[in-house]
Amino acid sequence: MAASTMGSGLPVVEGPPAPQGAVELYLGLKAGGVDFAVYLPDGTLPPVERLVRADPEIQTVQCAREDEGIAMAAGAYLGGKMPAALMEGSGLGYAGLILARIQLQRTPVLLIASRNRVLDEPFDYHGATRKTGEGVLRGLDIPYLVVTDPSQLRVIVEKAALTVWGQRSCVGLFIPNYVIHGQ
Amino acid sequence: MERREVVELFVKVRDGAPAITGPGATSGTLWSADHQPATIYNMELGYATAMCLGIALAAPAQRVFALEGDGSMIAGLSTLTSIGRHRPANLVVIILDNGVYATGVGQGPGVTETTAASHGTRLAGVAVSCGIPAENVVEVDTVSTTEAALHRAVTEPGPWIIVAKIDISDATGSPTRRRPGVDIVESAGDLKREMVKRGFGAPPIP
Repeated sequence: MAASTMGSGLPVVEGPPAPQGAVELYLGLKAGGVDFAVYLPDGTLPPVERLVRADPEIQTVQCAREDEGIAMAAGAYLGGKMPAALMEGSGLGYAGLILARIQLQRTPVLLIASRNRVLDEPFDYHGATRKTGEGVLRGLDIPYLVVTDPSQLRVIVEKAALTVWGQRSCVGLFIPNYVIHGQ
Repeated sequence: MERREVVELFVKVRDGAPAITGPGATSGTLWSADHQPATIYNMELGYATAMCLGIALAAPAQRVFALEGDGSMIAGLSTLTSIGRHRPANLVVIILDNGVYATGVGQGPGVTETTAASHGTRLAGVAVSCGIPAENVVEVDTVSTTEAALHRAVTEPGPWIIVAKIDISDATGSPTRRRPGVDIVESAGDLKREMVKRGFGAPPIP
């Protein structure tokens, strides 16, 4: 397969060109200082994950469950990194207990989750995912935003990351599918 | 073999390295045996090893220890697959396996609730099946074999999984077990500061 981002200043990745939303999210992670990313693939974020994985300045690891990945990301913070965890919103449903723990002990992680309650959710089988992602963060009083405007994605991710490091609190960003993949 | 004996052997080889203990009796036992600042006690069920895996991957020059119970390791079983996948050479997981949920509220002398380890689940076999090299997975049930396994774990590349079979002599229930003298918030801050002192990352407050 052809390298898709050669010459663009972005990491070289195999496969189709990264959609603009993925590029913006990736650049926001870079601007926010993220240097460790843990992820579990879903249907929305893989173009971002391919960029992150191809960036030698971001240590990128895959996990087997999202709650495990959040614990790994918290460990990476303890080990000196500035971590983000990328996942489908359903994974936050698994992660209530570990999120509560890392909030208490001030071991922060930037949370990037696909799916949300309101926007671009045509499939009934994402119903539980819709409810659990925002529900868990709301229940734990973890601040979050649903990013609705792709043109704002880069700055929102960067500024959310700065809040994570500065406040030593998790922050969640929910990314509707169209924000990454277009209309 | 008693939990205390395994913990005391761990203390001898630890050399101040970061460690996270799972929930229950191991936390208070380690606190009593030898508290070191790079310690998080009583991590939530199923997450001590995952958090140590994150430290190990982020700080490959630093050996990291997870002290799990069999119940907690079973709850976090997926992490063994991630260890098998990423294979950090600096990670040591010590599973204190007594086959019971030994320290839950409401349990007391003579009352035990068994884990799957008492019903055929062999954690050493699971670890190997998850891709962790078989030569790095050790099951021990005596002080001398535990001491030998720990020696290998601190002198040879990992990841290491040491399943230490212990008895239930300290399964006295939550009300009477020893507890750490630092809380979960303090201990996480202490571990972070220790890592910064060792050159891993910037202080949380510049």
